[in-house]
Amino acid sequence: MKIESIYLKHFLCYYGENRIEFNDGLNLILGANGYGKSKLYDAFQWVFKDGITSDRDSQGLKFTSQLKKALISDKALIETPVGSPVQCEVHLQLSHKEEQYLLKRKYSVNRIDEDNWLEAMQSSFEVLKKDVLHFKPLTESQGTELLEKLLPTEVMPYVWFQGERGVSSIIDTNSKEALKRVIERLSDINKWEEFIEIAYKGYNTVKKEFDQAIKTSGNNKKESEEALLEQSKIIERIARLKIELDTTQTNLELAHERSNNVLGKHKSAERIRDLRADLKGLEANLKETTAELDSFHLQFTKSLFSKNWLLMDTKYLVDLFEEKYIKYTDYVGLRKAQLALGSNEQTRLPRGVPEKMHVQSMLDREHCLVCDRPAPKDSPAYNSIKSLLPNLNSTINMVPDITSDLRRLWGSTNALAESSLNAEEQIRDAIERKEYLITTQKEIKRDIDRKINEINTEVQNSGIEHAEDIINTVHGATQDIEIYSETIGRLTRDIEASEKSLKHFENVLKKLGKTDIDPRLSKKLEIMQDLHELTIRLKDTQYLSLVAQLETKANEHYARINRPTGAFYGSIRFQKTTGGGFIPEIYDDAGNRVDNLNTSQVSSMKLAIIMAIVTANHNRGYADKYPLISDAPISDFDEKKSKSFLIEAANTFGQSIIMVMDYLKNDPIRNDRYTPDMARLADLANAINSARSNLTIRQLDLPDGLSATDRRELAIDIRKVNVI
Amino acid sequence: MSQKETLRIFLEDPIVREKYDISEEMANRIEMTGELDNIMVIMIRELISKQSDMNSSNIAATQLISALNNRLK
Repeated sequence: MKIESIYLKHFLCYYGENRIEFNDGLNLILGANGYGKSKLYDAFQWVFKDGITSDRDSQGLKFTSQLKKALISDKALIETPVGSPVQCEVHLQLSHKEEQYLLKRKYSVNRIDEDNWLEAMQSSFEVLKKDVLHFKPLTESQGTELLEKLLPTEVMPYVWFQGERGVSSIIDTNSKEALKRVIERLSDINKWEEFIEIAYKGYNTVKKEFDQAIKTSGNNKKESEEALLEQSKIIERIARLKIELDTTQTNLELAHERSNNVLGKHKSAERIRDLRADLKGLEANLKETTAELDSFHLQFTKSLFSKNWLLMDTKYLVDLFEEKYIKYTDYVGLRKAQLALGSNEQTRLPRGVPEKMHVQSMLDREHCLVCDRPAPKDSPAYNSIKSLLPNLNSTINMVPDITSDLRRLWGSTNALAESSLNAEEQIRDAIERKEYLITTQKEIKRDIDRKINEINTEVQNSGIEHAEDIINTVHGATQDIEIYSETIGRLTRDIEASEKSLKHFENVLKKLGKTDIDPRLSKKLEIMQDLHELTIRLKDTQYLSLVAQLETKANEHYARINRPTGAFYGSIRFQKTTGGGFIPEIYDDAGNRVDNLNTSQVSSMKLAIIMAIVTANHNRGYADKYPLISDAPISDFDEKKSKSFLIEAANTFGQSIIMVMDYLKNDPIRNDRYTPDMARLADLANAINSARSNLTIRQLDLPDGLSATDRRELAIDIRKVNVI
Repeated sequence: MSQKETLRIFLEDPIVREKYDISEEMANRIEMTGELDNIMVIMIRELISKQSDMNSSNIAATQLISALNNRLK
C-alpha cells in the first residue's frame, strides 16, 4: 500500500479544506508542539480505526461514538448557523497492487440552538475503487476485506505508532512475551507448528495400530498388557499436564499483559502516590500550624497575666515604692525613738519629719526652718506651716502602723517586678513565633498548591486517576507472574520426566513387539516417531533462527541510527527467558550487560527492533508493502541521531510519513512562529538523496494573528517546503 | 520460504541424517519431485507437500500414513 494523499476538512484543528500529497521515500511533516502533528496522525487512525488517540493513554483509542462533536473543528462549529449541519471528513487516497482506492470517513452534527447540537452516534465510512476514470464504491464486506489486506491488524502496530509511549507499548523491554508474540504473529512459524501437528497425528495413528497388535499377540501377553497399561496412564498424565501447562501459560501471558498495560504507568502511578502522600503530610503540617496560630491569641492574652507581662517596665515604680518605703520606715523609727525619749526642742527639723513644737516655733518666729526663709503672718508660707498644726496630733496619734503591710506589699511587688523583667524578651519571642507561624502557614499553603499542580499535571500526562489501583495491579500481576512461571517450570519438568518414562515403555513394547509383530508395522512406527521428533526439533531451530535474524537486523538498524553520534551504544541481544520468551538488552563488546540506559538509547533500541520486525522477514516484504506512519518517535534524540534515524527510515521503508517537531527554528520575522531550518534540511536531503531515496517536506503552521487562548480560531496552514 | 528451502532445512538435521544415511551431497541434490529410495526423505517430502495443500491436519496425516504404507509394501 502506498498513501498518495490525505484530505482533511474541519477535522479537529484542521479547519476548512486541507490536503497533503505524499511521495515514495521519506515524507517529513514538521510541526512544533500544538501545531497539529498528532492530529494529523489521528486523521490516519480515524480513517482506519474510527478512533483517535486517547489523550490519556497512547495505547487506547477514543472512538467516534465517544468523541462526537469533539471531532469537528471548533472554528467550523462556531460558524455553523442554528438549524444547519456541519461535517468533518478525512479522505485517504492510496494505491495497492496497481489499483487506486479512496477511503472516506465522515461525521456530522446538527446545530439545534446556540448551545445544543444533535450529534450522530457514528461516523460513515466508504471505500471506493478507481475504475478507469472514476472512483466507485465497494460493498461493506469488500471494504472490510480490503482494509485488512491494505494493513493487516497484526502488522499495523509495528508500522503505525505515536510518540515514545507508542514505541514503548510495542516493544516493552520488561515483557518476556513481547518479542515472542511478535515472532509468532509476523513470521511463518505457524507452518512449523502444522508440520508437528500432522506428524503427531500420523504417529499417533500408527502407535494405536501397533499397541493393538501387541495386545492381540499371544506371546508375552502379561508383560505387554502391563506395559500398555503403564503407557496409557503416562499418556493420560502427559495430556493432563500439557493442558495444565497451556492454561498456565495463557494465565502467564494474561498476567504479563495486565502488567504491561500498566507497567508504563507504574512509575507515574508511584509518583502520583508519593506526591499524594507528600500532600497529605503538608496538609497535616498546615493543620498543626493553623491550630497553633489560632491558639496564639488566647495564649498571648493569658500570658499577659500568667507571665506578668502587664507589669513590663514597672520596675521603676517598685524601686520608687522601695525608696518611699525606706524613708517611711526610717521616719517612723525615728519618731518612735523620739516619743520614747520625750520631746526636746530642736532648732532644726529632723530629716523629713514635721514636729509640733517645731511647727509652733516656726509660726512664732514667722520663719520656715525647712526652707530657711521668712514666713510672715498670714502669708501663704505662714498659712501652710499653720495648716500642719491641727493634723499633727491626730495624724501621729490616729494613723495605724502599716509598716508590715507596706513591707508585705513591697515584697510582693518586688517579686512581681522581678518576674516581669523578662516580659519584653518573652513578648518579643512570642511575636516572632507568631510571625514565623504566619510565614510557615503561607509557605505550606504555597507548597500545597504546588503539590496539587504537580499531581494534576502528572495525572493529566499519565491519564492515571487511581494510582493505587495501578500499583496494586502491577503488584498483583508481578506476584501472579512469579507463581505461574514457577508452575510452568514444575509442569515442564514433570512432562519431561513423564515423556522419558513413556519412552521407556515404548521401548519395552518395541522389544516385546519384535518377536511377533509384523516388522513393517514396527518400521512404520519408528519412522513416524522419528518424523514427529524431527518436526519438534526443527520448529525450535526455526524459532531461534527467526530470533537470530531479528537480532541481526535490529543491530544493523541500531548501529546505523547511533553510530554517527559517537556516543556509546553497544549491541542488542535477545536474552532467552523461561517460557520461551525473549527480552532485548544492550551489551558492550566485552559481553557485559549495560544497565541504566538513557532514554535516547532505549528509544533507539526499540525503534531499531520495530524496524527489524518489519524487515527481518524479507519474504513477507512488509517494509515495501506497508508505509511507516509515526508521530514524534524521536523527541528525545539529538540532532545527529534524529538525522540518522530519518535516513534509516527512508532506507528501510518504501514510504514513510514521519511527524517531527525537529528541523524548525524561531521565525525572525513572525513573532511566536517557526520556520524550517533550511540548512539542516538541506543536509538531510543530501544524505537521503545519496542513499537513493526521496525526501518530501511539509510544514504545519498557524496563521498569523491567531489567538493563543481561543480554540475557536484554530486552523492549520500546510506549507510545502522546498529544499534546494 | 519455498518448499525446496523447507526440504533443505529438514535435511540439515544431523540426527535424521545419521540414522537415515543422508549425505551432504544427497541433501543438496534432492528436489521436491523425482524418484527416491530413502524412506525418510520420501516422508519428509510428503509432509511438506501435504502441509502446503492446506487440507486439515487429519487428512494430511492419513495421506502421510497411506504414502508410508505404500512404500513399505
